[in-house]
Amino acid sequence: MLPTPTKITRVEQETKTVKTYYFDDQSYAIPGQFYMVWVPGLEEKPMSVSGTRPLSLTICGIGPASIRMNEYKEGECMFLRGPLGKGFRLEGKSVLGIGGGYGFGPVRYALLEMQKKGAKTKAILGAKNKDWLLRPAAGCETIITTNDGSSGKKGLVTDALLGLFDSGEKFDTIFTCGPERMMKAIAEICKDRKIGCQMLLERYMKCGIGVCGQCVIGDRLVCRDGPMFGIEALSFADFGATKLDRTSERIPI
Amino acid sequence: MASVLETSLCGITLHNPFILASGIRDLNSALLVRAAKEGAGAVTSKSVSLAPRLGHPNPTVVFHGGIMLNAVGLSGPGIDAEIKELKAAKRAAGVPIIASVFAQSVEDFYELAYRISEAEPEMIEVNISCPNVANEGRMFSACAPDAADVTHAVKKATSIPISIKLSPNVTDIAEIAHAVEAAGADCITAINTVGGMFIDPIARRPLLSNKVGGLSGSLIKPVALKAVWEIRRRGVKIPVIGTGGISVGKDAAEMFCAGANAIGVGTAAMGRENLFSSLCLELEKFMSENNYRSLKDLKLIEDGSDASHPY
Repeated sequence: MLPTPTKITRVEQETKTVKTYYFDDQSYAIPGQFYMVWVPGLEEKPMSVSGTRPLSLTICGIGPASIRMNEYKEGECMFLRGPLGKGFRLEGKSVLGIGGGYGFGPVRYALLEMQKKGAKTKAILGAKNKDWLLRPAAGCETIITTNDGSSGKKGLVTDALLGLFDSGEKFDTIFTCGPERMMKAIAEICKDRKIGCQMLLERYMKCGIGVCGQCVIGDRLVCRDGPMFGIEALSFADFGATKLDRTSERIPI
Repeated sequence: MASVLETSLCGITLHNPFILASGIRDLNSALLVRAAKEGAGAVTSKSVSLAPRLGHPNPTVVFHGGIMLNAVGLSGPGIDAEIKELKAAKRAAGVPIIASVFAQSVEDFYELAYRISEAEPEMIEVNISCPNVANEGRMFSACAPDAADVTHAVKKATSIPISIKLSPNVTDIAEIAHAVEAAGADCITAINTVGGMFIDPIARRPLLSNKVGGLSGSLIKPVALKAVWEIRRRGVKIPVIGTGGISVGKDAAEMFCAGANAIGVGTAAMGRENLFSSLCLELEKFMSENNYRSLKDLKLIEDGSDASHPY
């Protein structure tokens, strides 16, 4: 699979730093899968799919490559290769999506796909403040939390999750993507309550196709065995604790 | 009863001849142990240098049309972290560990071999496909005297068996193989990747950030078979780990026929689930269907033809 120049048909500014790019590409990707986006002469980075037909990628400008990507305009082409990796298993009759910051992009896509399958959907969308909140999923009741209370409830997504359980809500699957400690806390809650939990994990990724091993977590590769992992991720000693840096030295998260 | 696939390499017993090659899914102990659990006869760690290295920016690996091109740039944590990883792998893997090292000077090769011996790997692979700063950046692997110098230095530094990993990007690989054998190498790993590049004519740039890289995968198998066969034909006696494009059991039978004593598997580990146990089953089936009782039966019939004819 080679990087393919793919025309940008629309750009949606979601927050100050996050844009969703829509492409002239009708291929299907499962929520949770990703594309490698190549900026010729600079870098190539994995970006999670936030919609298909047409394909969309939600990109947060946080480093040199992603900031450059977010300068692309409608009508220009990005070089894409994918879809890659293993996405969410779209199962369940009543599902909850929990997104932290720009991690909500793929969760939103999963919720919309579940709606098409007739599932009941609900969402918790959390961010550090109102400037980091993505657009909610259409037709999906959404609880918003912010760390500073600038929008929605002040607090963490896990507070909102426990609140839902306290009010008697039941879900058979939770889809989540966001900061790793947030996902670990959610996985532990799900484990206690015997609820399915599907997380999209992130590591510094290099090749994207299961060769170099750079994105290892436990003995699994995020690019190939993931990015979707279930409750079993709790058995990885490094989950929520440490990761490999660019040289592959182990550092705290 | 020992399996028909059990073999021995430099006095090390392998329960099967399939060895995870260096550079593929092997950058820490967890991944080495995983390959062992998935059935590898031995596992090779990613080549490590003395100091930590960042490697190249992406794109670093591209797979297209049955061939892989990579220039990851030997990112790695450096020798101190590597020793810990190798010790952890040795405790948990249950199969022999081959520790791979690379350096840009003979002195650094000596120091690496000396230091990595502390982790007590069963074998040390010496990756000489890297530039020699003392010889205008020429690859150690490209020049018999340089390859021999590294071999001498590493042999002085350690009592652990060493395998020199040879590059196919040379005029005469057998000459280099002879030189490292004479310098005391215990084993040869052949081949490393074949030099190549992909270019995107729309971006008008090479696809890899490093511009050029190494080809691997099933399409390089004929290059690897010829290299191993040449090394044997020219009388090199030490064991050879035949590596390059092996992806199914029958490929391994071909590689044994070329003269290999064990089989390195790299790129295929990316594409096939349960690769190692599948390779073992396939090779056993191939041998039993063709009435080969031992890996030693897998050798070419000498019919006296002169192999030096032009193509």
